[in-house]
Amino acid sequence: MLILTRRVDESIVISDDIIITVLDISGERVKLGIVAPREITILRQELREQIRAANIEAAETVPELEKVAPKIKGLTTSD
Amino acid sequence: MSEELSRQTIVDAAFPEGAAAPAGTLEDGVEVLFPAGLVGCASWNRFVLRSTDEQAPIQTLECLDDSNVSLFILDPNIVVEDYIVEMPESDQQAIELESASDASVFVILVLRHDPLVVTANLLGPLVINSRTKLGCQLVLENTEYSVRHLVYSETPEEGGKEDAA
Repeated sequence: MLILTRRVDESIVISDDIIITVLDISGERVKLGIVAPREITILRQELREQIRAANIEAAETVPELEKVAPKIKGLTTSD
Repeated sequence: MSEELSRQTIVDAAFPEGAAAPAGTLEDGVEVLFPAGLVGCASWNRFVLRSTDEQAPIQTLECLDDSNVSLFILDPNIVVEDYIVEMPESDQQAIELESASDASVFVILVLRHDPLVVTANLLGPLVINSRTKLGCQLVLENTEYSVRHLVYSETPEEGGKEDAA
């Protein structure tokens, strides 16, 4: 892991076209500004991990769809 | 172009009873390519959609890259009203989406048995371009949607809990 020390308003550049700037530091929270090409996906790590874990769990699901399907069929969107 | 304009909001309106859901435009046996795989599962690229009367309204995505992987998917409109998906331009380009009407949106189900509990991942929906048969998984930000939205539970006392995992 590369470790850099930056102050507010200082930036780092990743491969020419991704710029990450420290905008604000307050207590334990750091506000980052990110400039990157549109095709770059930027996600909070914990959110991505949630989806990854959900994908793995879904793939391990035991089907028995013939039992489940009729129950789903009876649902209405009354949420 | 402002950030607002660069995003396209796909609103899948609730479908009147008896009307065909957009999922119907993808037929049984159709092969779908996820060029970037799924989130955290980049090697899950090629899938075959299985859609039978016996398992309707659930459909299955069988992964051709890993025979152990089958995903059970559902039209989100069956689960929630007015499910809204905001799709970044980069994802639209990835599946060559030019019109919101080409987009079929699905949520992935997790089924647990004894007692039966079915949850849906509303936070990471799949979008498949029914024209190009390209798909991607989104990660929705700034929404109240849950990764384990309760769809069905056989245990009444847990019926109201969404994150009972």
